[in-house]
Amino acid sequence: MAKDLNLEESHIAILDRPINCLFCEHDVFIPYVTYKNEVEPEMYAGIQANYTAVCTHCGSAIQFGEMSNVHVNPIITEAKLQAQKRCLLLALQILVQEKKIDDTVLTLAEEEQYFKVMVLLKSRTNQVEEMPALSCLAIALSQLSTHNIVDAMQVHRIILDESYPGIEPFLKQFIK
Amino acid sequence: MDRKHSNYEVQIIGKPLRCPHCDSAIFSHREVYLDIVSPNVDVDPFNEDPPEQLVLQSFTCNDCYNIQQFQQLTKGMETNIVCKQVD
Repeated sequence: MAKDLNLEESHIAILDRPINCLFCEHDVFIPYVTYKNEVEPEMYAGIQANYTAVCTHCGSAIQFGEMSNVHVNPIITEAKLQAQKRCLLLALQILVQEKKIDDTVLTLAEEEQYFKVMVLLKSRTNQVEEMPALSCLAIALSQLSTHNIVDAMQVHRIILDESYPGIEPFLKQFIK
Repeated sequence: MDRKHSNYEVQIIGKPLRCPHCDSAIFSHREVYLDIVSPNVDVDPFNEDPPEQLVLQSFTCNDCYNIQQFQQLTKGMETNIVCKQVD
């Protein structure tokens, strides 16, 4: 679960019950995995992972010590979803162009058959539920890096600094 | 947020902060830093950037010591946290 936390505006539920900010009652949070040095005398000295959700409205921070019953659901706006789909199509076009994948993947992406896109991108997948465009985009970008078509560090920096406004023009420059 | 260790009345987005346990309105303040990047990951020896941190403003109730924490959010000249020193 911890790896699902991703600094995106999210709704959070504990034991399937949505949580609201204790101060302002809003329900949109930025989730973080946070670490602190923890020393327990005569027991051990170690690194303790916590999970911190910050309310986007008032800034109130809620901390969790255990995430097994916590579900984080990133909020995907229509604009963000469309940007994800455009970036996915660009990434797939580049992979097809470089002959790293069959061109049927483009048709599947246009028809939003993302599970089939995922299977083509990554032959070994044990995911059975419906795949979102974002998961396919992450794997497509990873494939572009693996095949040395794009610089992995540059992609990583753009994702961290600029998100979708930056990924789109970056990918377009590789389309011949 | 530069603040000495005094007692404060606090407003968050214009609403007075009260202790949810004892309803007190006086708090002491600390700024706390939480590492976001795991200290266990391999560290690039040539990377001189400091570790990424989440900075929280921590308010401890003067009566019962219950702690409430907030991230400072700023929009132009406006901020979500306003503190008034009371001693």
